[in-house]
Amino acid sequence: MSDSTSKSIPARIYAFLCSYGLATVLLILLLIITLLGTLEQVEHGLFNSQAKYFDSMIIWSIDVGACLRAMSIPAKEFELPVILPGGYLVMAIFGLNLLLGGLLRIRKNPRTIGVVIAHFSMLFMLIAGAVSFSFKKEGNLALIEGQTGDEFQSFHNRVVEIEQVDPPPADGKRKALVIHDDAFEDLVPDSSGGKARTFTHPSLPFELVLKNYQPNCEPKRAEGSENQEAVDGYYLQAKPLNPTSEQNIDGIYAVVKEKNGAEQKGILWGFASAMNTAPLPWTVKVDGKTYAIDLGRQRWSLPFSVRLDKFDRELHPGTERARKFTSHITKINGTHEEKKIITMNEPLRDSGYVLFQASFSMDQSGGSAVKQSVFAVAQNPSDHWPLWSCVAAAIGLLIHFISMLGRFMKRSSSASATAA
Amino acid sequence: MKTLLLALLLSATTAFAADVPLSVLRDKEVVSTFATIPVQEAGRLKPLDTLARYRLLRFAGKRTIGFQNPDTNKKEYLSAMEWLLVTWFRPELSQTMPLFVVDNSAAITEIGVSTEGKGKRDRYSYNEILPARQTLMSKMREYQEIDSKKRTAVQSMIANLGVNFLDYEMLITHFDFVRKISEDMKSMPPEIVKAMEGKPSRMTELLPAVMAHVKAHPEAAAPMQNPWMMNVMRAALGAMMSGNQELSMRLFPPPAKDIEPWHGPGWIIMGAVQGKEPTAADLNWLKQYEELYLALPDAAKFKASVTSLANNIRAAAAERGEAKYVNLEESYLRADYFYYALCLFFLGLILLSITWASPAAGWASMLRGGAWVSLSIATVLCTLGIVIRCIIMQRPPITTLYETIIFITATAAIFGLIAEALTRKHYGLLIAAVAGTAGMFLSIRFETMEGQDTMQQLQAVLITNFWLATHVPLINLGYSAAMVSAIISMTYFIKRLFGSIQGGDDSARSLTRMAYGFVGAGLFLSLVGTILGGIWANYSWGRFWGWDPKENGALMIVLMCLIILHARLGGYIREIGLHACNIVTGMITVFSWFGVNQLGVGLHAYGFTDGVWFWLSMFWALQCVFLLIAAWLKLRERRAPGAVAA
Repeated sequence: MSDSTSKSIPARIYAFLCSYGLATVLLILLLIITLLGTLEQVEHGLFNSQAKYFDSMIIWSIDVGACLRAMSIPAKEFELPVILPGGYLVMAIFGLNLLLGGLLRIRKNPRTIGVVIAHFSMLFMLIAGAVSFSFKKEGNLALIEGQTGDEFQSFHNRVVEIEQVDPPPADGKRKALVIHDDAFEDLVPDSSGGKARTFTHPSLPFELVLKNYQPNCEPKRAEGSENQEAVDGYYLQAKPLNPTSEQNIDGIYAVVKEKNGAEQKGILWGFASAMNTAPLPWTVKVDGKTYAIDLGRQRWSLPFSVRLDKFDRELHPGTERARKFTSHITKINGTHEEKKIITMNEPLRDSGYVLFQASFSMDQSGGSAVKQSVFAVAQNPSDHWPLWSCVAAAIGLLIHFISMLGRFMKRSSSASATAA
Repeated sequence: MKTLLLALLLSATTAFAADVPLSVLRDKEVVSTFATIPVQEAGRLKPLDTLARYRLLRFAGKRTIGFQNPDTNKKEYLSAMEWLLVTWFRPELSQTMPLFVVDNSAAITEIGVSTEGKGKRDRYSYNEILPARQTLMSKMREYQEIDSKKRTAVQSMIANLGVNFLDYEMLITHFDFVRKISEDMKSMPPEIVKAMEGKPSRMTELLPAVMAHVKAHPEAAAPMQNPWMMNVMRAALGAMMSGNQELSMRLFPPPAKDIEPWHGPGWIIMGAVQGKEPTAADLNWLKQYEELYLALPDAAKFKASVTSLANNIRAAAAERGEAKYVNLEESYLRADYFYYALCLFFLGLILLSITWASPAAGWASMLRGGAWVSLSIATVLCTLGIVIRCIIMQRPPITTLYETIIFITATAAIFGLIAEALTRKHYGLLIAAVAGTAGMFLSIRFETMEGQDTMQQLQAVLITNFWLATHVPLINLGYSAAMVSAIISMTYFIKRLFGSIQGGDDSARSLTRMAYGFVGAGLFLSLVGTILGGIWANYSWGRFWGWDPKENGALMIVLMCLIILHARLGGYIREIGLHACNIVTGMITVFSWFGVNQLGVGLHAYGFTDGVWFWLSMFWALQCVFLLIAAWLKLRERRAPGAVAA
């Protein structure tokens, strides 16, 4: 073994990045992060735990009380401040360690071929995860029987959309300017009176100021309240965050500043757009044109339309337990129509998009049952990569462990022969 | 005249119900015929015996019930099927049997029942609890309002006792629609009584009259305003055998093949009073069921009625292409594979333990041979039980938490026997014996705690034999390999503690190699199983990985195996370190196997069972003792002069 002190600094860094020690530490960190992220889900919900532990660069605190209570151990509120690398950072360094140590530096001979294949497959899996994390679109599309849709809504991504509704676009196609949540979700009210950000676009005859974003809130009458932000007698009252992120209803104050200095104030509240209730979205009239400004989930277009022809739910006999959900749909591409069936474990794959049977609802309306089918929709460039990775990992590990077993058996038999 | 007739009928019914000799109800042929009658419950066709067993298990926490036989004045035991028959046909006797198990007498004291002469954990008869019925019901409702995770143990016990008490009341009133019909008719409107003149007092005769009355007087359908209607509905509920629609007993196959839910006596009666006219086929079934009761106490007539009813139900089911495996399931229940497997695993463990007194002796070799045979038969029995369950349910072996226990036990025993065949060091036998005994004991204990049918119908998303046959068994094989490696490491520490092996000697190295091998196997199985689960999720829900607790649990096993392999290759752990890490792997595996199900969140939130955290804590505490032993051994080796770190 060479003396480490004689190595150059880059060589030492390389050796460190390749080392078993680094791999072991990273795996231990990942194990701890996974355990904590699992336990915190009970009180903080999947979305928040995922953001805190698995999608993060740094973890700043551990809710020890919540972790203990998750395991039915009585505990008071106790948030432990820490500085731990987050899951994203750990996995990124682990990917590098895998590349350098597990693929480049490893001795390549017949005995290590299985390990090399397994390392390659794991690296490929991490890359698949990174591609999915960065580029995957996922959301849902809810249709009632007879309804056609060609857009799906994100599960979590929030956006403010500005759309000219009057006069409508000449081509009849919906066009909207979109402000993504990373541009306004930090505008939470604070002791200084709140935060605001101004958004402009060459096509707009006004500036839009967004301020005081509330991740979970509801509009309240401002009577008797000293709230300075009240609009038309209403203000947004903050509510505690729900662990299930989809159940939070966000809101934000908006101000449209026209070029002549006139201002129009409004409140954008997520529930209104979700429920499609009048008179929302908030509309403003500027320079004779009407614009709808809405806070809601991000929407993406599908390259085809889907019409729900019929929805069936089969139950296990004499129970309310579902045995099968089936949606009979028509895929419409221009003038071409195609009948398809989407059911549990049998999604529709087309043009890079996959539509899965996710859930359903049934309402009695006017004496007849109105059936709604909800499809989860995903577009993932690395859709099939995990499968290829799994096959490679299985082959690699099988080669390695079978050859290990063979060597073990050979040693055992030669030891027995020696003893005899 | 009418009053006299009613009084006569009433006295007649009361008389024969009490006079049914127990010997008639315990007749082997009668019991066996009842046991194999197909019934539909919780969406599945099963033998009546299955229903009886799980009802008794839920109430009493055991599979038989002891009672003082009034005929012989001796303590005797009833099988579940016998108990159900006595409850149906001799309710006054069943009510005296110590049926309801209560783990803490504080629950009984709280409802105002005396615990004099009873232990802290004891069983109480229906008659003992009956005086406190009102208090029990009110407390049950109060505690049911509290989230089950926030209830105290005593509150949970009272809530469960209340539910069981009500369900039992439905069992004892199961045949009230025959037994008490004459008494109930006394309070019925004159038009109904008049319509019944000259007809036998049977529900099949009464239903048309009740329906006609309700049609003419819709207000009569409100039970709270009409005591007689309340009685009819109560009888219907008793005939259903449960207030929970899913758990009601459906006994009669409908003639129309496109109707999947079977009908039951309670459903026919309830449907009729609510305006749904029973079909001729339904009334025919109900009539046969009435005749079954009315045949008593004549043993021969009763036997003939049971046989006829059972044959008719089987024939109707066969015509629909159903209930093919009911007889197989009944023979599976009778064979009790897992109980006998437990006995044989335990026997193997005892035989092995005896050999430790003098491992080199000739007799020790013979005992080890005996252990081989005993453990092999136990493993075969366990595997056979799993295979038969697969045939009955027509699906791969694992769909519930209970099934993971029997599968992991069987595969751990197989792993142990394979390891023994390869190494001949006797450690493989020990693995099989320990894993088999602990696993089978756990399976029986878990089944008792759950108190419900372990063969369940699946949720829609799980009905895919391809993934159930690949991802699920692989994950569980991974658990099995990880637990085997933990058992080997526990063996290592026990042997080191008692000085029967030394660090680095042949035996220790052999144990370490074996443990390392199972870590490798655990990694392979868990990794491939976990990724296959992700692929299933990706192909079924559109997401490969969702950080769901169960997924995370499997990932943690993979990570721990990887930590061991990399730390070992990097020279950070050697013999003691590897075994200590294996102990941690075992702790993680148990968390993943049972713990995450108790969190109550995520897609895999099934199998929540009260009391699991306590047993998990006990297991982890025990494993911490092994970790302390590891630390002590490590410290001792470091202090030993000239010692090489192990």
